Order: sequence, then C-alpha cells, then structure tokens
Amino acid sequence: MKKILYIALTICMPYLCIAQVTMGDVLIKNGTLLTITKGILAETDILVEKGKIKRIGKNISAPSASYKVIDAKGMFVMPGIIDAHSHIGLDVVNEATSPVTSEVNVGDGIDPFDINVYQALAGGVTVSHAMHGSANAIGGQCQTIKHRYGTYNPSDFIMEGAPRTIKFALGENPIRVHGEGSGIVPRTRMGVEQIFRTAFTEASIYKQKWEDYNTGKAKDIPEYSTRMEVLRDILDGKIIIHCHSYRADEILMLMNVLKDFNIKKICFQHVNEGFKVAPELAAFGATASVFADWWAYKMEVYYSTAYNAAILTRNGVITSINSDSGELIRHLYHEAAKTQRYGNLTDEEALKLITINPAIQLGIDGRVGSLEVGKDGDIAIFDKHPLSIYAIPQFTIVDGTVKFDRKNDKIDMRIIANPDDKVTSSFIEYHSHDDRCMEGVADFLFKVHSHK
Amino acid sequence: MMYKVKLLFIFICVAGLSTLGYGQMYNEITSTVYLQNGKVITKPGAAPIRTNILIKDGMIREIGNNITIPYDAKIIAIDSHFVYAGFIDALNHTGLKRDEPTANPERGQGRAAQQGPRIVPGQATLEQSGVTPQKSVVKSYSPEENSVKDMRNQGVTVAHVVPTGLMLPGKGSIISLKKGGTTDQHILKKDMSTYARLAPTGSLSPSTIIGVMSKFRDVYKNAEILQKNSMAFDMGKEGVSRPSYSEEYNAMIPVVNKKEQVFFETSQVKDIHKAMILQKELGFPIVLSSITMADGLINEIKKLNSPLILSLKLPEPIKKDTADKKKKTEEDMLIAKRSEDAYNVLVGQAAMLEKNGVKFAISMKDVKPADIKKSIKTLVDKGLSESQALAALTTNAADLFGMSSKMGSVEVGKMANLVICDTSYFAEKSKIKFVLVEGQVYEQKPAEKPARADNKPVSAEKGVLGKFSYSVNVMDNINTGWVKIEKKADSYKIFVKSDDSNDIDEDVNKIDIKDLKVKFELNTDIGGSPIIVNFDLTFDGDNYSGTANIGGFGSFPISGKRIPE
Amino acid sequence: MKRNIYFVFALLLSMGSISGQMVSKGEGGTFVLKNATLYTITNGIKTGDILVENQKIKAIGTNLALPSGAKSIDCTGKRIYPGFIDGGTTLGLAEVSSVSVTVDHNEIGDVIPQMKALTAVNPNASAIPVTRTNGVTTVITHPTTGRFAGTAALINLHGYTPDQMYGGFSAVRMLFPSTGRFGRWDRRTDEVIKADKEKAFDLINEVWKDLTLYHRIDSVATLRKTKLSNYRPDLHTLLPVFRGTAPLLIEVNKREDIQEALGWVKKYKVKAIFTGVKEGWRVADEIAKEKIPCIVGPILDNPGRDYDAYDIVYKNPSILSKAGVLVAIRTSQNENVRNLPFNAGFAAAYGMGTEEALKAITINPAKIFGMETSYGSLEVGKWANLVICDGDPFEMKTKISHVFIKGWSVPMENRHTQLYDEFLTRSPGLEVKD
Repeated sequence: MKKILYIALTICMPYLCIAQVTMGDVLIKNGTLLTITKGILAETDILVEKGKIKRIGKNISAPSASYKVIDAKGMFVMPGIIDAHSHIGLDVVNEATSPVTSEVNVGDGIDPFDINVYQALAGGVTVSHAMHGSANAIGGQCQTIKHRYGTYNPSDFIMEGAPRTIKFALGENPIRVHGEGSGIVPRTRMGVEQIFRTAFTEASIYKQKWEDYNTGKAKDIPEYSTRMEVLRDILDGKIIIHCHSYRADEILMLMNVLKDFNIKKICFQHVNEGFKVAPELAAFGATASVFADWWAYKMEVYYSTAYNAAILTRNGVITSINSDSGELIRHLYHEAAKTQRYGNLTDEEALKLITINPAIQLGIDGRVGSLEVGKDGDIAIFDKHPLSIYAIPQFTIVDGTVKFDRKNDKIDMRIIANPDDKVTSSFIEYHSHDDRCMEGVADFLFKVHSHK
Repeated sequence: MMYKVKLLFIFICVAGLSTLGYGQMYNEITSTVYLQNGKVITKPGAAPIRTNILIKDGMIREIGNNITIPYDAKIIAIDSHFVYAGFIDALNHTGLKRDEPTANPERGQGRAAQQGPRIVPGQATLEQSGVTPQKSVVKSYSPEENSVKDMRNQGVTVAHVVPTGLMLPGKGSIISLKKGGTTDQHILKKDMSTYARLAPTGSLSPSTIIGVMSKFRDVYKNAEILQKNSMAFDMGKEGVSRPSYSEEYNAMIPVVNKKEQVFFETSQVKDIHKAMILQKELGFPIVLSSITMADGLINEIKKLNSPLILSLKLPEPIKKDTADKKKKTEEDMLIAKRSEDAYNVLVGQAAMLEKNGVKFAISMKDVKPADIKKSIKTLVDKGLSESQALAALTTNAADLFGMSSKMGSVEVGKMANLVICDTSYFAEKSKIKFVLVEGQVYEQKPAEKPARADNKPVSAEKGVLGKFSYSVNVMDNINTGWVKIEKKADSYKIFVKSDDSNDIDEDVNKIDIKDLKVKFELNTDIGGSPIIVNFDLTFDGDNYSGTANIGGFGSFPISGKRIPE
Repeated sequence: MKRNIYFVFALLLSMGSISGQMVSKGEGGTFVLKNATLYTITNGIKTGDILVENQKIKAIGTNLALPSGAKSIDCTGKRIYPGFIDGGTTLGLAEVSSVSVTVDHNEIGDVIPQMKALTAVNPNASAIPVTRTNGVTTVITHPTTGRFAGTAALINLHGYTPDQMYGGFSAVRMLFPSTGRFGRWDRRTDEVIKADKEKAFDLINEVWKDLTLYHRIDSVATLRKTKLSNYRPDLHTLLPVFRGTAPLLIEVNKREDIQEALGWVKKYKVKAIFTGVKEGWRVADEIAKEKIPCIVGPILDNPGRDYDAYDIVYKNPSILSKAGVLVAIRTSQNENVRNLPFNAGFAAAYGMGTEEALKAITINPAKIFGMETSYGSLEVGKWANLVICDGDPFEMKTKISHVFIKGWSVPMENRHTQLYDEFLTRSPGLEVKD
C-alpha cells in the first residue's frame, strides 16, 4: 500500500506548479467565522474574488464554476495568522559588521524555496515579518512577506504596499557582537543609547545637507549613503521600528530617545520585561510583540513571565505573539492559546494576538488580520476551535489561492531539489530553538559552527 | 637506490629545460598558412563546405577552391576535417598569474592587517570591502600561464578575461589566447567591462549578500555624484568645492553613463533576481553572467532583453546506483528521482533558453578544460541544437562583445581563429586536431597527456601531496574545510580553505615537510583580527591527524583524509 | 576565542544577580480529595475520592471518611490525574542556559558515565516551580555531552535536597554515534560525517573491550573478596550495563542510526531504552520487533528532512505506539518542561488519541523505568503525585488548581505568577514622584 503511494507520487507529483502571484476565487461555505473584529458568525459563507473578500453572509453561491468551493461545515474559519517576528523565507539574517546597518534590506535576500514557509502555511500562517537579526543596535530593514509558496520569483513574496520596517536591537546581542566581538562601542547599555543618539543626529545633518543642495543653498552634491537615507526616513516617520528588546530599562531608554527625535512608530519585539513598563508603553503608543512562554535562555530574559501578553493587553498595549522560529511559527494558534492558561485572556483577545494586532504592528491592518469585506482573501480553516490543542489546520488560503490543503498534503513539498541530495545525508538531528536573530553571527565571530 | 634518485633528478632537469627550447628561440618562418581541403562550417547552422582557406598575417584572406597558393605559405592538409570558427569564452579567469599578490583584495589586506592594527569590520575601506572596479585584468594576465594553453587546446581562441576578487573585482578585457609575446600584443579590447559578483567578504563589511547589494547602490550613486561634482568643478561653477577623488568611483563612471556593461556573475534564480533588482533600480547595462539555472525567471529575463552568459559548469552526472535494489526503500527511490529531475533541469538550461528564444554565450569559468567538450555534448544531448551550441561558442559571444565583424565565423576579412576537428565537433569521439589563433597554428599532439597531474608523484612525500579534508575540534566547535599541499619545482605551496569562508588562505609560512610529517604556519584572520595557526600533521596512507595550535589559545585536534581529485 | 573568555568572566561578575526561586512552602499531611472525576490511567475513569496519607495514595473510593487532622479538598467538577512524567529534560541542571557557569549538564570528556546528574540538581532552580504548576511532577534530568554522557536521574519536582527529590531510577545515558547534522549550518561533508561516526564507533568498541577485561577482573575480585588492582570510575559505572543488569538510555534519532543501534543493542545484549527517536516512524516495526521502549520527543519540532511531511514529528509517537512500541514522551527542555502536556496534546491530536497520549506521560514512562508500582497511575500504594484541574489538562484553557508531589501539596506559584501578581496593575503606575 505504502509502496503504491510512493510510486504514485513519483509519477504524478507536480511538486507545486510554478505560480505567479495569483489572485484566486474561492467560496467557503457554512463555516463558523471567527472574524476577530466583527464577532463570531455561525454557519456563514465567505466569498473571495480575485484575491479579495467580496462577501460575507448566508447562502452565497459561487458566481461561476471556476470558483473553488470549500465545505467548511463544522469547521472554524479565521483570518490568516500573522507572525510579526520571523526569519523564514530568508537567505540572510544578519549583516553583523557594524552597530548601524540600516543600509541593508533583508528584502534583497528572500528565499522563496524555504520549506519553513510551507510548514508555516500548514500552521495557518499567511503573512510573516521577515526580519533582520539582532546583532546591531540599528539593524537592517525588514520585509513583510506573504506566503505565496510555489513561486520561483523572490519578488512575489513581497507584500506589495506594506509599510517599510526596520530592526533595532538592545541589550546582550549588540553588546556581545560589537563591544565584546570587535572592541568598539557599545559594550554596555549606555553605549547602545549613544549609538541611537549619534545615528539620528547624523541623519538629521545628512538630511539638512541634501535639503541645502536641493534648494540651491549649497552647490556640491553631498555624498550618498543608503544608511543615512534610511535613518532619515525613520526621522520622517516613513519606517516602523521593530526593536528587539528585553529589559525594562532599555525599553524606557529607547522611548526617551525616540521622544527626543520625535519618532512615534515603534513596536518592541520580545520585550520580555515589557510587563514591568506596560503603563509607559501604553502612554507612548508603543506596541509589543512577545513570545508566549520563552524565558531563562539568557540573562536578560531571566526575570520573565509567561503572563507578559496578558499584563500588556490588560494595560492597553497592543500585543502580538510571535514565533522568531521556524518551529513555533507552525503552531502560533497554540502559542496564542497559552495566554488563556497564563492570564485568562478571552478567545477573542487571544486570537487578536496572532491576527489583527500583528497586522496593526506591521501597518497592514487595512489589508489583513480580520475577516472583513474588502480585505485580502487570506484565510485559515481549522477543524476545531483554533485555540484548542486538538485543532488541526485544514486549509490555508493566500489571496484566495489555496496554498495548504491537509487532505492533499504531499510528501516532499520542496520547490527545488539539488542533484546531489541524498537520503543518507539530509537528516537534521534537531532544530535549534535559539532565536535565529543571532544567526550568522557565530560564523562571523569565530568562523566555527556551534556544535553542541 | 641512490642511483635511481640521481636518475630521477637528471630527468627532471632535462624535462624542465626542454620546455624552454627551440620553439621560443626563433621567429616563425612564415605568417602565411594555407589550409587545404577542409569541411568548413562558416557559421552556426551552415552546412559544411569542402574548400580551402588562405590566412595571412592573422587574418582570413581567401576562402575557395581556386586559391593561388603563395610561395611562402605553410600548407596544412586537413582532408575531410571539420573547420569551425574559434570558440570564445565569454567570461573566465584564463591566464591570470597564480601568484598575483593582489588577486584577492581581502587576502592582501589580511596580510597588511597582521602588521598594522586590527580592522574593525564596519570600517573596512572600499578595497577591503572588495570594491576595486579600477583594477585592470591586463596586469594580472600572462600568455605563458598553463590555463591559456589548456583552454586553447580545447578550441578557445579568445576569452573575456576578468580579474579575481570580491564584489567589484575590476575590469575585464578581451584577449586572444596566443602564445608568446607580451600581454599587450594579445589584447583585443582593453578594460571593456566591469565585473561584478554577489561576493561578501566573510568577515568585514559587507559580510552578507544583502550587504553587497547595499554597497553596490552606494558605490554606484556616489560615482554618479562624483561625476556631476567634477563636471561642476571643471566648469568653474561658483560655490563649488573640489570633489575628493576616488579611483573606485571614477572607475564606475563609464557604467553610470551606460557606456560599459556590468558582467554580473549570478548563478541560480535567487542571485539572478538580486542582480536584476539592482539593474532595475540603477539602470546600468547588464550582462547576466555565469547562469546555471534561470527557471522561473525566464519571462523577466526575456523582458530585460539583455545579453546572457550561461555557465558551462554542470553538476556531476548522477551515478547509477548499483546497490542492491531490495535494500532501497521507496523513500530512497523518491529522493533519487527528485535529484535526477533536478539534474535534468540544470543540464537542460541551455535547451530551455533556446526554446524561449533567449540568445546566450558561454562561460567556461570553473570548468576543467578537459570537460569542456563533454559538457557541450551534454547540453546537446539534453535538447540544445548543435547550431545554437555553436552560436553560443562563437557568434553570440562575438555579438556580445561588439566584435562580430572580426570574429565568430569563418569568413574572409575575419581573424583567423579556427578550430579543426577530425569529424563533427559534436560527434561522440571527435578530436580537435588544430587550433588557430590569429593564424598561429597549434597542432594537437595525440599523446599530450599532462605528465605531472596524472602520474603519481614518485618521491617519499607522495603521501602528503594532494587535497585533504580537515576537521578541527575547538572546544566542541567543529570547523571543517580542506588543505591542499602542492609541490612546484623544489618548493611547497599550501592552501587552506574553511567551509565557512569563500576565501582560500594561502599565506602559509615555515613549511617543513619531512617524510610523512608536515608542519606549517598559517596567517589568517578571525573576525578581522589576524591570527596565526600552527599545524603539525602526521600522514598515514590517505589519512592524517595532528594538532592545530591557534594563536596561543591552545592546541586542538585536527584530522582529515584525502579528497580524490 | 579570547573574547569568549572575557565573556565568561563578565558573566561571572554578574552572577550575583542570579538566584533561585523563592516560593512558599509545600503543605504536607493527610488529604482527602472529595468527589472528583478520577482519570486513573490503568483503571478507567471514575468518580470518587482519594485519600492521601504518608505521601501515598492510601485509598480510592466513594465517600471516604475524613481521618482526624486530614484536610478535605472539594473536587466537585474537577478531574484528578496522576502527575505527569517527562522522560528527558535538563531540569535543575541549568539556571540560565547562555551563562555557562550556571550550566551543569555538560561535563568534559567522552566517556564519563560516572557523572551523576542528581549531584548537580539545584532544588531551588527557578524553573522547577514553573514546571510543576503545569502538572509535571516528575522528570528524568540528564547530562548532555560525551559519548557516555553521564547518569540520568528520575526526580520529583519538590524537595530541599537532591536525595529528597530522587525518584528511585537512574541510568547511564549514551549518545549513539550520529550521521545526522546538528542544525542547518552543520556543513560537514558526507565523508567527514562518516569519518566522525567511525571514530565514535572505535571509541565504543574500545570501551567495550576494556569492559570485557574489567568485568573479568571485577568478577574474580568479588569472588575472592579482594580489592581491584585499579579503580576505573567510568568502567565501574558501565559494568551493570555491560552485564545487562542495568538499562542504558540511548539517544538516537536518524533512521540509519536507529537501525545501527538496533544491531548494536542486539549484539551486545544491552538493555536499551531509546530516546529522542525522531525518525522512529520510519522504522517503527523494527523497533517493535526488538521490544525496545522509546522516550520520544520533543514532539513540537520540525521534520528532520526537508522533504518529510510537515506533521510527521507530531505523528511519530502515534506511529510507534500503533506498531507496538512502549512510548513515553519528553520535551528535551529545561526552562519549558511545562510544555510536556502540550507536546502530548499534539501527539494526541495527530493520531495517538488523548488516552494513549496520557499514558505516554504517566504509566508508560513509569513502566520504562521499572517504577510502575510507584508512579504513573491513580492506584492505592503509589506515591501521591496528583494533578487536580478543571478540564482536559492538554487544553491550554484548563486551569490546574492543585498539584501533589509525594503527598505534598505544592504551592501553585512560581516566578511567572509572582511577576503577574506584582505587575498586572502596577503601583505606582505612570505617575512620577518628585
């Protein structure tokens, strides 16, 4: 029996057909709709046309036979899950050579073949925030990606129109890489602050130089610097900061710096001690994207609590749960549910942590994060309530196109293979749970692999 | 015993002398060549014509059956042999001197860094970052390098030679692969291209591909600015200061002015895409070079409508597994099938491009000369037409370099670059008999097997010569790579490459080889800091083990085994 | 590398701020747990009371009388489960995993079976209360490095000394030579991997050769009641394994390695327990045939190969269990061993079913350790390791109200709850005092 299956696969496996960005048509019938923003709708249909949600209601019929129809009776239909912190779908994570590397953009290094993207789809995740690593105080620009798995073209992953974002990082990582690694500032959290103040001040000078030239006040064309261009755009409010942070003191520090430079858009990432300064975060208007329960893997997360998301939520901070991991991203619905054990969040509050809230943090809440007419047809369908441990994602739809269908899931969903792939050498013993934030840095510092 | 050693010594001396002999002592007798009675394929797709060719002073003067043979012609009877235009290698490092001191900017700096203060990774100079677009390949080229001869023996008469290096290694030139004389005499077009790679430094900025892309933007835009500021300064505009000169930016100005093509080395779709992003943003003329797989981007490539160079580097053919079939699981078969498909996609690229109407030339970079014909044959076996294969080797490349009036086909008035085969070049057992470069005749002697490479070394140190893997355990961190030990004349050369780095370390001193014991000192850097590693290895058969003493941090166990060539 | 040294030094200086957990004391005595739904594991589900006396389950029944001095806990609407057992963790052996001086599970050496995990267990590790409040009462804590990495111990998560915590089972842990890769960035060539493996086998063969001799000398010395001429701590610890009287925990994950391990175990007649077993599903029948129990996990993990089905690791325990293998589940965690019920929950959802998955964290590990008369089910005479909750313990919504460990009602607080209590409504809030 098994043999027949394999043989059938080798003959008819189309892998995934090479798709461009396809805006699909799909009708989902009779599901329980967890709309996130408009309550729960029982036995309701949802129609997606050309990639957008066209109608939500009862007794909708497909406008034509070309629509894919999914019978979701007894199932739970929710907006596609959004991960505000991830590194999947990327070739490169860290340009760790300088405390400021705003000039690099991970969007230049998208890997559309990363199998983790399919595994994320199999966990209902349709959008993720592909981030630069945390080696530098001011890291690289990040890219919000749509999981249009099946394409060869890296550009297809880019969520068109999503606001620009950039990675900042506080605490141990930049200190380790630059202070301890290269013997330059920052070696302390004091130094980290000065990196920001200097960078922003230099950027304002850069901005002035170009304005002087553009208005004819100065005749020499100033030197061009992608690094400064990006910093200037942060000052101009064109880029949302996503800052890797842990301790309360450093979170307060950055908010003070931002106040001084009149920068408003910030989402603190990880922010394990965010609970200690939740009122300040709320007052600033900062948002928080946290782990459900990670702690104690290093000193700066030793005084953590899995109740972080609950405390932040109750204090009025828009909070999301992220993965930062190719493993956790496969079950963010489960990670969100942990806030019900740790802090008694309601179903709606818990689901918001992985839908509309991360969408707000990425500035894409007008497009995704809830089931509403006019939004993108990004949808996850579960057999049971997604906050139950027994829930299994059945369908994941991106732009109205089914990207994951549990019943038709196949072995070997790789898009490309290598001629020298061998069964005998392909096994990975375990996937490290270390945050990929520091990926590439060990190589860079020591030219040796971590090999524990 | 003693006698044998002595004999060997004498043999080496004699063999060494003979290569400097007769051929180079005198001028050629004549520069007129008459090729008698060949089957000439004048251009790709043309049927062979039985005819004669007269060559004088490096050019084809006459083709036909009624040529009056000049009295001073060297007559070569090539009865029924096939005559093709000489092949053109569209991108390679052919002829680059191996001991070129600045072959790799990072290496050069690495040495400097050992004396001076350590480099902070983020404060690398342009040169340290691999930005040396001003570097001309001509200085590094020598017509006497073995690689020139090896490529010529395979029918390559002209090559677009580019310098080695990181992201912007320098400018390429079109060079005739002739023997003797000075480099200048062989240059057809000097500094005609800018060579670019997505090659990070490994430890200095830019250390990643995305860093390279960002650096590329900065360099490009500052070249634009330098040009504008310089023009304003030259015109004596009021309020303008003297722009500070930069060799690097200055060298990019022809690119910025869209007068010089950037030969962007990209391999598979993800890299091609990156080069295309930069091209789209900045608008420079691009030649996508060294492509191994363009699947999935073919529509974008067509739209780009720029020249394209396919890499001839093909994956190793998949060995038919002769293992017991019963032992294989369904999974083994599934993955084997997938690998086979992947192999077929890669070797089918040329055919795919042809099917899509995309013209391409061929780069033989990283291809062993001896594999060239086999690889071309593979492309043809996988669906590429013979005429397109020939076009890729001749006319397409000539077009790409704007030299189709001078080469690429067998016509009167073109350079006498020819490949003469005993039968069709694409036939299974065809052999190249003569190669002509600008009328210079190189006859292929059948038994010309490279004596040193294939013959086993004969001395006691046989066991230590060659390429070996290494694995060093540093406090539970394993670092792997390879070590290559070579012997040239009476001196040894050792190369070390870590799997973590794209660079080959060759700054090796204090080499001490006694029988099966090898000691040497490697100067390298870790994260920009110079460090000395002392190796002490003992060989046993194809294996060795020993210690690596790393910069005073302690000795760590190292071991490895021979990597068969 | 020098940097590393500075780094460690810097961390040493900061050590003053690392302290173990401070929570209230556990409550001892006699308890009657009234009117609960009892998930006995071995005798089905029933309604009734449990009498806890002298740290053990004294009686199970309906309307049990309240002995004098006993405390009664009304469990109406609640469920009682036996305490959950994690078959493989480093709990208690590390406080902050990136700070090497707080990490005690990675001793130097390749053949160090004599290194006892129990010795280094910190009863006040801050992760212990965090773990037990999620219903995990008992864990295997094990050393992690070396071919023979040391001796793992079963511990209960309550007590003030390692001896108080000791659960009565310990075993040497072996890391079977692996031909897998240790992460995405392990770029060793196939040849190097093969060479590494062969080297590892050479070492094992050497140890076994030495054991043959040591066994002979030791046997004779015992007979003659004389002293050994020379003491070898490593071989001494391994003797019972060599003689087949003590089990060996063998960490093995990849299909090819598992097959090799099956052959090795058979050849040397080793009483083996396989751990990890990530690709057990590929060779479930072969493992079942050799009747080797498996401690599987983590379940929340990516597939080992890019082309594997995305959910195969979730399904692994189910496939093994259905093939007839005795399966326990582990997290392989330190600070998040509390996720054991959720690892089991995923196994349950992906084919194993709730009942079997529950067994995999209760009676099955107890059986594997030969401790089934003391742990793993609600039966009279067993240690009173109990979890009282208001629903399915695999569900995140479910609240656990009481946990008993060896008859002690442990405080339901830990660092996480304490910080919650302090910071949910912070006082002072935003206002700044001059």
